[in-house]
Amino acid sequence: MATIEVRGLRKTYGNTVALDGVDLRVEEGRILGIVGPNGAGKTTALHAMLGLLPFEGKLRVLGRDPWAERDELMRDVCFISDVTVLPRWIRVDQALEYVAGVHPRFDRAKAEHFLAKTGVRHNSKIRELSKGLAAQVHLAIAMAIDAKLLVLDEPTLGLDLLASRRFYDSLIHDYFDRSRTIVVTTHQIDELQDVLTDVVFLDRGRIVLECDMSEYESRYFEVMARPDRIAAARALGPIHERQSLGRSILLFDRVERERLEQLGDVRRPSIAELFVAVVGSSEGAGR
Amino acid sequence: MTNESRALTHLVENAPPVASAEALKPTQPFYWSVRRELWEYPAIWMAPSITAGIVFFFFVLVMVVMARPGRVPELPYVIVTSFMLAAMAVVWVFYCLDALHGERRDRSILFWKSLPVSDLTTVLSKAAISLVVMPFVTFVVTAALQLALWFAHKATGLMVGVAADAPGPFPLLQNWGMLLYGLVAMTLWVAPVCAWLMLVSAWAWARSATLVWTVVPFVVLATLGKLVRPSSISADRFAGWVTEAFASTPREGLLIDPMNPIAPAKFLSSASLWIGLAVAAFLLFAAARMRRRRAPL
Repeated sequence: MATIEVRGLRKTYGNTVALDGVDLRVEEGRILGIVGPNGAGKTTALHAMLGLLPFEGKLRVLGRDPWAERDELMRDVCFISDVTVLPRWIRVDQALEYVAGVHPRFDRAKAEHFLAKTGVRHNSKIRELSKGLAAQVHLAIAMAIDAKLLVLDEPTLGLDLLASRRFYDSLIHDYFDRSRTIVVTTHQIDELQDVLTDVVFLDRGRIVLECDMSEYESRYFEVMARPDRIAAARALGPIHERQSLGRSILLFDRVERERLEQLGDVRRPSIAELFVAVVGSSEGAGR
Repeated sequence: MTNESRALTHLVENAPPVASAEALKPTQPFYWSVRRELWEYPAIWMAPSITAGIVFFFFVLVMVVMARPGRVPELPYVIVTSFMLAAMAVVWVFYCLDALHGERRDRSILFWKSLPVSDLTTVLSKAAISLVVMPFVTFVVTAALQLALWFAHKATGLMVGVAADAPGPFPLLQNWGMLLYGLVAMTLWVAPVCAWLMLVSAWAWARSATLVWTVVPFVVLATLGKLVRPSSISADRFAGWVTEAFASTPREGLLIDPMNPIAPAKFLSSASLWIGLAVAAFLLFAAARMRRRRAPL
């Protein structure tokens, strides 16, 4: 059984199509990054998986229908939307007490262990904490829940570089293991590149690219073509071409490195560059 | 492969497995949901306590000033109780209107919904605050206030030379019984109002809209009540219980009239009461369905 199975997922708000037939399969032990421009449908897709909104199509999370069984599903799924959803009036110890009271898989001692590292006092209210510390409190609670699936929606939005680095460090070093699955959406894809096992680009409600990161490194190459080889390079079918400092830079998918090296300097693009190429160019074509 | 991802792979391969399906810890989602309401809305117990403090201070001051040798003025039990009921009513309306609106305003609904607590449990816990906890707190605080006033009255009497065995300012136990009965009857009677306010708070977008929708049905019901008499549904949902739960109409201007004998049998056989409770159950269920679809504002 896949952790998440999505087939033909559609969601419309009036005349606006938020999700337009998404198919996706996430196996246990993967860390999937969903990347997309604003309004691409990332949050809608996550909310459908978490039982927060009704949808059309087939969607199973850990074998359950999220819309029909949200409360049961939440025993095995943990969810952090952006950093500002912890109630501002709650005290840290109250939050721990409450989650311990309602969640069968919450380990309070573990949460306190994580909190001790952040230096947050137990009698502080969330409103008295900085955004970065509030995010650490939420993460400490989430990591102390023995969940099979952790869903993060822009978890580091609005955090400074150090705070978001700390966030992902604790996540990977203190939490992740192969029997868990993590799905994360983010704008700051660069800080996640080394962490992900899979990446999906979402644009206007559709998946426009799906890639296994172990495959990524042998799949995408960028060539700064020598002027006399441009025609030859174009003949190999680049997925994107741009100009930089008077030279053409072509992006290839599934073309052997040896062949490309004859055309010019070859380098591996970052996910962000790939994203700009794939989503940016389709945006130009669509408008 | 970068150093970092190599380190990660190493880490991942050596990580201990997640504990397999062990016996799950028992949980009490309803109890903790009620507790968290008390944390979020301290006014539930602070408003009656502060009101009681002010009432106590004021009446003792007046009593001491007006005391003459051998005579202490009577304490107006009815007025004391009315202050407490008024304080509860204000907090009650604001609480019901905010119950399912506040969590959407501050986006914390996304946190609450990330936990294994059903929408129905949440709605019922909030209803329990307004239908059980708030009347109970009001009873306890009012009873304590009456006790304190009773002793203050006795003490003042002793100081100005009233005999120690003279009767107190009011029959304490009888008043407590009356108060408890009155609070229970009132709460059962206004349950549909509570449920309606909670439905409005689950569904309205703007805060101003909650106020409009709060008022509309009462205007409609009042109009209907004038057109089709007698109408058991539209029977006065605020003060109607007074005539239903007691033997006769109370004296002018009084809600709980200590001279008016209670009539529980008459109250429990009132169709209006049961129709109201059925409406309340339906509206609370609707509010839970509504919350299920609700996102932050």
